[in-house]
Amino acid sequence: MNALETLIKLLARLPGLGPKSASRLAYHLINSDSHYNELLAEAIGTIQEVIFPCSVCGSFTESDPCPICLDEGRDRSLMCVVEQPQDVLTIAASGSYNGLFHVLGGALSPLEGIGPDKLNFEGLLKRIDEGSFKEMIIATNPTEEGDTTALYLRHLLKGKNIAMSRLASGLPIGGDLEYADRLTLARSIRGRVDFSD
Amino acid sequence: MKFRSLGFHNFRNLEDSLIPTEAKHVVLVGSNGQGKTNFLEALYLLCYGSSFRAVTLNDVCRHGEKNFSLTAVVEDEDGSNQNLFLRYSDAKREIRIDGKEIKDRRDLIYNIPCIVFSHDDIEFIRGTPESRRRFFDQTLSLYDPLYFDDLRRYRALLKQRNAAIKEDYIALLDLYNAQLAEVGYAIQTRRREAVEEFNAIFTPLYNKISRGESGMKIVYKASWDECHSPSEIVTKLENSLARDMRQQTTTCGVHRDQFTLMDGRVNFSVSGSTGQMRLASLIFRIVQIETYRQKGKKSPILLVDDVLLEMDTERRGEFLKELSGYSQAFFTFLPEEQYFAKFDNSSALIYSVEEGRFVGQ
Repeated sequence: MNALETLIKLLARLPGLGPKSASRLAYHLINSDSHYNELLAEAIGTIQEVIFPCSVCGSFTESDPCPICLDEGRDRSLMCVVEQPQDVLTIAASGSYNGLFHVLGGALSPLEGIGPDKLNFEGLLKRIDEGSFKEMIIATNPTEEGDTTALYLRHLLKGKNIAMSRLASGLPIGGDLEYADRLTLARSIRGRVDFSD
Repeated sequence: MKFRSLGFHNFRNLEDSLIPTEAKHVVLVGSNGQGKTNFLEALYLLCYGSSFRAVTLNDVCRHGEKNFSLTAVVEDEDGSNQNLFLRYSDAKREIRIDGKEIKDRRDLIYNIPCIVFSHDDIEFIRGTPESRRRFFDQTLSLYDPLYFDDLRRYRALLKQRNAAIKEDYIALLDLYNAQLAEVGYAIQTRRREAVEEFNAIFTPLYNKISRGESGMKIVYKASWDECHSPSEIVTKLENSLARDMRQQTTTCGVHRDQFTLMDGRVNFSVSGSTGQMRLASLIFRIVQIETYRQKGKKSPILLVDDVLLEMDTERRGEFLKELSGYSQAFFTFLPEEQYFAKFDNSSALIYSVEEGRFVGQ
């Protein structure tokens, strides 16, 4: 295998890339500025040394604890539990949440060998016992695995005197009812919310 | 809804072409192995993204090819046209409606309602309890997206619960019990209603076509029959834990529900003759059409594949008379069969099929 084929093969292993887009990227790299290629290689090569999980919340960071955990401007009575580090970025970027985070590192899925022992529930319990949290928002994905994880959290925190809620799911904002698929609509009707005065 | 045309490329033995299908009845006449069923299969693929035969998409490529594509123009109820496109290449399936790619099959299956009468339908009668369960799941899913969703959820949860048993994650079983109970109860309730509605149409219709007086009906025996709420199901699941652990699987639930076709006090799957079973299986499909028409408020497209062969002329006539409530129907026939009675030339397009070529008559 020559160098080009090796590069294509390595690129094709990235999520969302097939052999065709991988070869397009490879040819692009051959023709691009060599300085850029060096920077890219350097960034890829060192990413795992520079970025690591925060010892408090589990989100990716360059300094420990992470800036979010240290941010005094955040509401320390509010905790949002997510599956993956990238979910922290997504929710933080929404601009409507100003509390702390906790990353579980996945969702419960015995099929994939992921039981409670594989996720960071222990760290969560410790933070709740030592902190002053009053409310927890469960932001696991709306999948079977995410649902089960949410139920497990509820079971785990029984008697902890902490208010719990889960992200709502349903119709997209600004969307037209006409274009919603039947299932989303059917689910939204099943999970409708009280609107009386 | 109506297919106005169907085009294929590299599909099975069919010669690449575009076939007009703008008629209420489209009749394909030809000997065995000429491509009649392949034509129906292509229509079905555009409706549901998979074949009604037990094959992978790789198997439907023309011999020696690794890709195929299908196109169709479908006329909606309001008279507007819809362009369907399905391509299989590099072991990937791509489906587009009016150029927009469909990612989740769920968004496809409610687009064009299509019901196929296939030779294998006799398994609904003769086959295992799963085959009848599949029939009812299909009938319900056709018009009820929530049922389809519940079924998907139930299957996913069941797999997880079984894995939790095998991996010894006993602490998680309570969570799966609670979720399975809720979804399972919804499924059980819907199935019970569906069986009642089914019998109300099936029993009289079977008697009418068979000119008999039998009390033939489906008897539904749910695995959680005695449970009348999700919480009772949770208790039942808790009580079966020891057995579940021993057998390393979930031993009760809607995946074990039984649908038995009873002729009075006799199990018809054992007592019926082949001809009777064929007739019963056709009536299963007629009930499916009728249910869909009532609940889905739309008329389905029918694909009727070689199922009339085993019946005598009289019953065949009765059957064709009862076949209604559809917007378009495709039939396959052997050259020597008599079929013209129902299909006069004004409402039917007739093609003779030979070695994958379609010639209008």
